[in-house]
Amino acid sequence: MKHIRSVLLLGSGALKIGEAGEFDYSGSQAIKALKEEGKRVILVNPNVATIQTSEGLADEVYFLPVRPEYVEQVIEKEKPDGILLSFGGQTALNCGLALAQFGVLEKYHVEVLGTPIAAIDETEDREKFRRMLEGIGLQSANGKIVNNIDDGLSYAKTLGYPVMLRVGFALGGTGSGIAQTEAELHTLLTKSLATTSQIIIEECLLGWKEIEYEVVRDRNDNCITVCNMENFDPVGIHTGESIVVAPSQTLTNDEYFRLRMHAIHTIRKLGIIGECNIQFALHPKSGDLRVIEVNARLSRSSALASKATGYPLAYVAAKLSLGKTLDEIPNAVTGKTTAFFEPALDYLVVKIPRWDLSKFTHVAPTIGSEMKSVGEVMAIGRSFEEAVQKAVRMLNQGHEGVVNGNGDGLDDAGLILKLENADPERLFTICEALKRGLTVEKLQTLTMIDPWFLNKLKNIVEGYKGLGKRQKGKGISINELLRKSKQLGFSDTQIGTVWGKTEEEIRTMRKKMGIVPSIKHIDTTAGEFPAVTNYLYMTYLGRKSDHVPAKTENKAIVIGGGPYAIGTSVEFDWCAVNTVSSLRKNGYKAIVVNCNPETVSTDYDISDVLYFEELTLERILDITDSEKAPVIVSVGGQIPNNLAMPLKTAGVPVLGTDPEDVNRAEDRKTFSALCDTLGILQPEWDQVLGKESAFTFASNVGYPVLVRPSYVLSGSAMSVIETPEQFEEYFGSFDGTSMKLVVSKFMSGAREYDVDAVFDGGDPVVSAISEHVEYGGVHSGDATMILPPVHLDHDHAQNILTIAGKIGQVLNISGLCNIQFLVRGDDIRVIEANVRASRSIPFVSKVTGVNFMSIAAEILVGKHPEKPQNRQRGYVGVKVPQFSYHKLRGSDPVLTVEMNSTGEVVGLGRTVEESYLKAIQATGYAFPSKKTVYLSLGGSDAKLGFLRSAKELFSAGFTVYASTGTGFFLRDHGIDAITVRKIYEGGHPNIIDLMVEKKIDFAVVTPENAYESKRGKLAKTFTDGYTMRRMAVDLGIPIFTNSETAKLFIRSVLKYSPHTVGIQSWKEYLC
Amino acid sequence: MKSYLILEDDTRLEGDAFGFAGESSGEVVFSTGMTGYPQSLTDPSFAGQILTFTYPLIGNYGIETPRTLGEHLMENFESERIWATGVVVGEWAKDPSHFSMAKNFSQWLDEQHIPGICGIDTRSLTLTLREHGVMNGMITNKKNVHYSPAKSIHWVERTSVKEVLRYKGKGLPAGKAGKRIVLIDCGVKHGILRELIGRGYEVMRIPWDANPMDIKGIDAVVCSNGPGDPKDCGKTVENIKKVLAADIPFLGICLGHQLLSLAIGADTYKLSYGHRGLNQPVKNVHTGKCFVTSQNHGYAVDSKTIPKDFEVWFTNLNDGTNEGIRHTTKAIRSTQFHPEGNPGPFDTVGVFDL
Ligand SMILES: Nc1ncnc2c1ncn2[C@@H]1O[C@H](COP(=O)(O)OP(=O)(O)O)[C@@H](O)[C@H]1O
Ligand SMILES: Nc1ncnc2c1ncn2[C@@H]1O[C@H](COP(=O)(O)OP(=O)(O)O)[C@@H](O)[C@H]1O
Ligand SMILES: [Mg+2]
Ligand SMILES: [Mg+2]
Repeated sequence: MKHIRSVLLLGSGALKIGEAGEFDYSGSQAIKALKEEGKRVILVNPNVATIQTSEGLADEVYFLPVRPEYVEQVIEKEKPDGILLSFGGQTALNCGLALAQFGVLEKYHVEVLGTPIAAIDETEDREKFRRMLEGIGLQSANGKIVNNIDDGLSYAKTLGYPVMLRVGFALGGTGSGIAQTEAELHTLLTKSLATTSQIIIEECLLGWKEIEYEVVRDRNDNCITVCNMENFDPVGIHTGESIVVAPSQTLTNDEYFRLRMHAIHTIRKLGIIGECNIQFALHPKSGDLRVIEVNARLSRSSALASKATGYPLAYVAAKLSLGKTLDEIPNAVTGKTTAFFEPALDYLVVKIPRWDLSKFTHVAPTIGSEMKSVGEVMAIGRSFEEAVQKAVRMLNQGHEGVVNGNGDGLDDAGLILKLENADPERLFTICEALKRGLTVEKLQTLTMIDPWFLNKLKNIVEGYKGLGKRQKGKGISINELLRKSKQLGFSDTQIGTVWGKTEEEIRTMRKKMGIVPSIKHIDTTAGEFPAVTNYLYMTYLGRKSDHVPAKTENKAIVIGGGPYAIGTSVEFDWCAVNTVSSLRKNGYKAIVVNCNPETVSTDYDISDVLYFEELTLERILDITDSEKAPVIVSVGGQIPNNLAMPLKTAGVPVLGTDPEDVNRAEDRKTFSALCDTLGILQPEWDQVLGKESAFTFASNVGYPVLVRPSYVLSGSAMSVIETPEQFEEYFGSFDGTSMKLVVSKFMSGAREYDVDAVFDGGDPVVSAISEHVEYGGVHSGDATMILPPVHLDHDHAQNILTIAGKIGQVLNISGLCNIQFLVRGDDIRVIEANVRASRSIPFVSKVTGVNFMSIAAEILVGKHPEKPQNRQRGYVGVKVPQFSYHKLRGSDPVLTVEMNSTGEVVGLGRTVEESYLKAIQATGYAFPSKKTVYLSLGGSDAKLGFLRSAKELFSAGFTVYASTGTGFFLRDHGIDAITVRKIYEGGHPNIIDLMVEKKIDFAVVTPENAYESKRGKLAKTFTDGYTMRRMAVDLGIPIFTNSETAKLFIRSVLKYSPHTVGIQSWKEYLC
Repeated sequence: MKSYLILEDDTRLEGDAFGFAGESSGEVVFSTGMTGYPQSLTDPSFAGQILTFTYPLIGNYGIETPRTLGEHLMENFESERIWATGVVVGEWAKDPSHFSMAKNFSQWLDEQHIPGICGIDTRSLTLTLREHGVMNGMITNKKNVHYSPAKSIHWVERTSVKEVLRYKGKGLPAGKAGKRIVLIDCGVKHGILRELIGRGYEVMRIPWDANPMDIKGIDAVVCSNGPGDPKDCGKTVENIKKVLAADIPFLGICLGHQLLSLAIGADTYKLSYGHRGLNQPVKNVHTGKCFVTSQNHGYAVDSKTIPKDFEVWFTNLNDGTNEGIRHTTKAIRSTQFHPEGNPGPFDTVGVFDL
């Protein structure tokens, strides 16, 4: 190995389904490890919301696409000695493979550190992998590569149905699926062959146990398995979609160590250096074994394993890549032992994925071999019952436990059908079935889940029934019943519901009886050695706590964001981590509470004390009872924010803005009244009861209007209604007579602005205005944002800031606040104010170079930081959302008032176009190279508005294909557009042919109106539009459904290319 | 039914009884293995000890029907019976699940007359033992009794065979004889027997105090693991000296390692709370290679006392204690860990190649 001074690290880009926050964890640990070894670290990662791209970590950060054409330019400029490919998920791995293949690494003498390219290739190429396994006497599922439909069908016949179809070089099971019949296989093959050439048809292992091992190996061939995990859901359901326990529960010693040995043999044979994950299928009745796959890199499972055991896998892997050996690396948890050891757990861990399928239209509500979940939670307990019930509450989806007191609303037949087709609710469905008396045997045949797990769930159900049967003076004492129920994981609320008492009453009662949880350490050694870190969980299956809270006044509890979901993602972890480091810098002991294993905030070295725990009122109160510290609820998004008032009511000090004032902003009515007194305008709105009043309001203010059921928060179930007919139809979908609705005047064609500001006791300290590219009507989480704004003149900007200032003052805000504005001409209106950290905080902090969060954190603990200088900067930041439609089969990729994106990236540049090109390419859009475009512009306004862009494309030599109407229009205006048919028009070539033949670079398909996109009034155009949009997603063709972003894209690609944009680091832009 | 674990310092922990309804006492030790309770409990090295499992869920895959590989050789247990005197767990599995199981954990303990106590915070018990060192204790269903020392038993004598047993080597071509190995049984785990026989060796298993040199035509001597203080096995030490004097290759495992050390004049001492688990990291100090090993011992060899002709072979990466020694030139060696795993990893089985 040559001497390595500088290392290029590739990140994973935006969060998307299948590649989420876990890679922020692995990347930031890698950077710390590299820095400790004195290396210069160059990071390429466009994900602005990550910790790894924050100041003080990497030496240089490039907010650039993790694509070969960009990374090559960074290599050329920075001349790194080595490159790390295994810390940025499949994105980094694939990019690295491409760089190696194109000879770039060789050309610039960049050494691949850690696992060699050949080994990666052997794991990614399913055929090579199969042969390698055979060489060491292991078996993968019997299968064959096919590259056309006929071969696939005929091979499947020899295997017999069901068969499994899989795709090489993919992650998150993309394109995979189980075909029960020839017809199903035909459909799957067609879809997959459109995007890949390597398809494997395999023996179906449905129902086998799915077991994973995390393996670490160093250059000296020392090899350990850090953790094994067992999937509650058997093979057939992606591990990312499965409930997972660690360590395995139903494996005998022989099985555990046989699989461990095979794992080690495989990894040695491959020559992995660093960390990897191996997945096995184990037959539940015979012990027969198959290897499913090896991921030669850090993965979601390794993040989970890391948090489950306390073993810092990514940190260790990075050190191993530099040539260290395991016995040379100290165990950071014990401070005494080394990294060469296999953690012993004296607790168990349950992971449950978090889905958000209801946010999407046309997505099958079931789960299978493809990933659909957007996040996950991990619960720790000393029994399965305790851990699984904790996990369910951590999901924050309204479940108090696995038993749903109200039943499921399904008849028995429906229940059975639901059990046979796994979906995100299956845990609750199983418990409902148990409650109705279905036997474990029956459930096992229906779900193929091991009886061990089912019996545990049965214990909970029995416990629940026992709660209801309590009678004074009979059976066990109330004290014992309560203790037993807590040990089974029931919450105070749930017990209270059964007993007709409030959560508070139960809490008081059990505390009087001395029934409180113990606090336990996670120490990697099951108590064999003392630990130096404070990684904690709570359990009712304990007699004594091993944690003694620090006796200092200077400490604060930071409540993290919980599971990643649409709308709450890594940006809140960034806020939590920055708050914690700011607190620690200011001499405070920072205590973190969070339950998301994909986060950096739950890393062992981030805080002084970490509670890997529920973010429920009950648990936070348990923690404050013992820690006696004030709480910060404003940096983790909606979950902690919702705890503000309850905590205050319970007498816990809440730092920052008074929860009462937070509420004044959240409550639509009080906020409106407040705006009225301050003379601040809002779009007219009213809360109405029933259809009639809704119609009256709409005709008074005029269409379009925005409606949402008033119980719903945060963008869900909102609709834009353009005409009375649409309104009629909207109400047709449910009984609108007694429905409470909030109806607002929808401001069409208004520009939307986000203000993020920090206040100190109502005084503004720092603020930033970001402009949305799309007009109002696209959720701010899905909007493309520009900082500084381009369409806002000085006066308007001042007006906006004045309004923000007034709101800050009247609410006496201390800390962060985000206010959304709509501006049309001189008309400035406020949509809403959120008195907490917002999604855009990392973006504005990184683009302006002023860390809003650190400043706010100081204010939270009563300091009065100086106002940072407002500097003019010669560059623009553009934030672009990342969508995961390609993972969600059938979902409609249209922007609406409901948030759909799963992540975001940023581009920096001298112009908006330059920044945008970088950012949009970072979300996976290829640069148009064939110079062909398809335009289908709904409505005459849209057509006119788009004309200039169309002309520019045409004169730049683009071949313009268009739908019939758009084609007429364009030719009328001198653009020689080629008409292709829509699908419903019949005949060929139609747009689908064009796409399948890969004839177009990108498509602009704007819907007739916002309403059409979601509801589908005109069935045929709707279906057509939808089919087209969906096809583009399935084929990986960039598609724009919003004309503002489409125009920006066109300007950007006409003005720049990947080779003409500036390759500058974040630091270079800032100074 | 309520049950109590009472330690010699009068710590008393309340739990529920399972397994055999009775009383028992012993040295209370903890093991950090997350699997392998059938193997651990039948390991004769646990004789006379109350075994606490730090992993809270024990018995998940039930207990298999015992299978043998011929006479006096178990296939799926480490001996014919449970040797630990009592079991302490957080929770035992009432609904175990595995295709190979025949009964549940409690039934097995009951059959074997071993009392168990569940509902114990085994982590806090472990921390107590870690801080105070191991203690004696008892499992009882009487609330208000104190621990009273049981009469001391020579556990090696109790666990060892009473007469010489002969095992034929496996898998050798007809007519070909394998090496002849004498195994001094100080309470041998059958895993060791299986490894030796599986290599085609003919094994003569002799009582702990018998002289290996009485057996004719031997190629090597192996001294097994076993319970208790090595210094209680003076007779074995004397016999090992005879083997060494005759220049016969020797391998010691666990207690056998300690006995070899005593035989060459090194010293042993009692560890505060021993090594019991499946994850003990050791390093071959000559090659730098590291291994995860299975261990179960309360005594250790003092590396500083190893005489000239011998050298440290392995050390423990966690606490630096001795994990193996070997002669600088001759085929004499021993390991503190259990290369056969069972329970635990078998990364070091190569040690049995004699
Ligand atoms: N032959 C098979 N039969 C049935 N299910 C399978 C088979 N192979 C894989 N699976 C399921 O598909 C999931 C995804 O496959 P995997 O190879 O792990 O892809 P990924 O790279 O997306 O993790 C697995 O977690 C497993 O549950
Ligand atoms: N009156 C309105 N006119 C036009 N667009 C609006 C109006 N109100 C809300 N929107 C759009 O809907 C999006 C979501 O609304 P908002 O109230 O911010 O919901 P959330 O609470 O989910 O953030 C906004 O970002 C904006 O684009
Ligand atoms: Mg994979
Ligand atoms: Mg996988």
